[in-house]
Amino acid sequence: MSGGYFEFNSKLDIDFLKSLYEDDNEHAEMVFEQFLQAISTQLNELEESFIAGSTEIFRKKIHTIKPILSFVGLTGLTYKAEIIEKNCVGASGVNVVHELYTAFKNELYQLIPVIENDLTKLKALTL
Amino acid sequence: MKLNAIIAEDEPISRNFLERYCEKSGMINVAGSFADAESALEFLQHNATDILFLDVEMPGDSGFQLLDKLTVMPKVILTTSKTDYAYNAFQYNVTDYLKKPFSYVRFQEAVNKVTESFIDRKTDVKKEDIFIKSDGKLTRLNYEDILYIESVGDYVKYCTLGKNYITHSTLKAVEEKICGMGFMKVHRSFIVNLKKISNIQDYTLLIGGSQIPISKLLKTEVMGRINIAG
Repeated sequence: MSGGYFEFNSKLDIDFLKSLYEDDNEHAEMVFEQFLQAISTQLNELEESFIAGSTEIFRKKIHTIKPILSFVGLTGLTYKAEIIEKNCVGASGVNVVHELYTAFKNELYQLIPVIENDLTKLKALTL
Repeated sequence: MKLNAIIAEDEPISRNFLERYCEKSGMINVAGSFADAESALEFLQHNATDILFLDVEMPGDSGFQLLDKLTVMPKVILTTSKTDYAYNAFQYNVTDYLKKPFSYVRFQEAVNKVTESFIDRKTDVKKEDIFIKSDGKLTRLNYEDILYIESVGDYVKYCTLGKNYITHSTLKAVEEKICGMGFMKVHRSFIVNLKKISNIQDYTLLIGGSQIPISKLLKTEVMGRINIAG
């Protein structure tokens, strides 16, 4: 454990991140790194399932991504993912969530550099 | 004393969180961490476990399907990112329900519920019973009613005066659960209720009309546990 609260980027949910990591910056660094290693594969799989068109498979993929977004402070996107997941239940096709999904992934792609930047700062802190 | 826990969670970052929080609590030893229900079930069938942190939606069997297959139920803390499972959670009598992502404070609350229930169990001496899963249902057996437990391949047979109950487990898992509660392993295939022994002759004991072998290695220990007048 490494002491002192880290100042996360204000685009992230700082209060929530503090409740997750408290002063354990080493843990935050580990999770931010894991998130960045995993997210591109997860987004590719999500996109593939969207193109394939099965709402149930797409729903499961978005369900898996949903909590990990909050682990890096993207609580707003977790909420949006939850809405997409709910809209998939009983839907005839993935097109029902096309607009929501497009907005979701665009926002996520814009925020990934923020996570990368905070990871760099966390690494510097725990050196 | 630390509680033994396992984690059944397919998502690696969520698994990492639970492992880290368990370590941070200083109260929990993570004995295993599994990405699917099948691997967790295999572990649970052979190892006494106090707490199961269980995700619901996993590839293959779901968390609830895993619970259906368990013969001895640890304390269960569900970890899921959906709130829709509250009714099932109630039906399965889970100790707590953590909606992912959850803070360390919320995690600690859930663990406290488990530890409180363990304290209740230890202080209430009347609760000398065990639930076993047999014939598709959970049945309460009072320790006093059990004569002996016999290993039968991948199953164990609980023998009482009135009825025998067969359940999918191992004698090792049963031993970890009930030995020290008046029970003792006397042979690689038998655990007996010491209070129910009628007589002992050489390497055989009589219990409820059944002859049970005593292993040569365990004979001295058995004799040490019974009250011999001389």
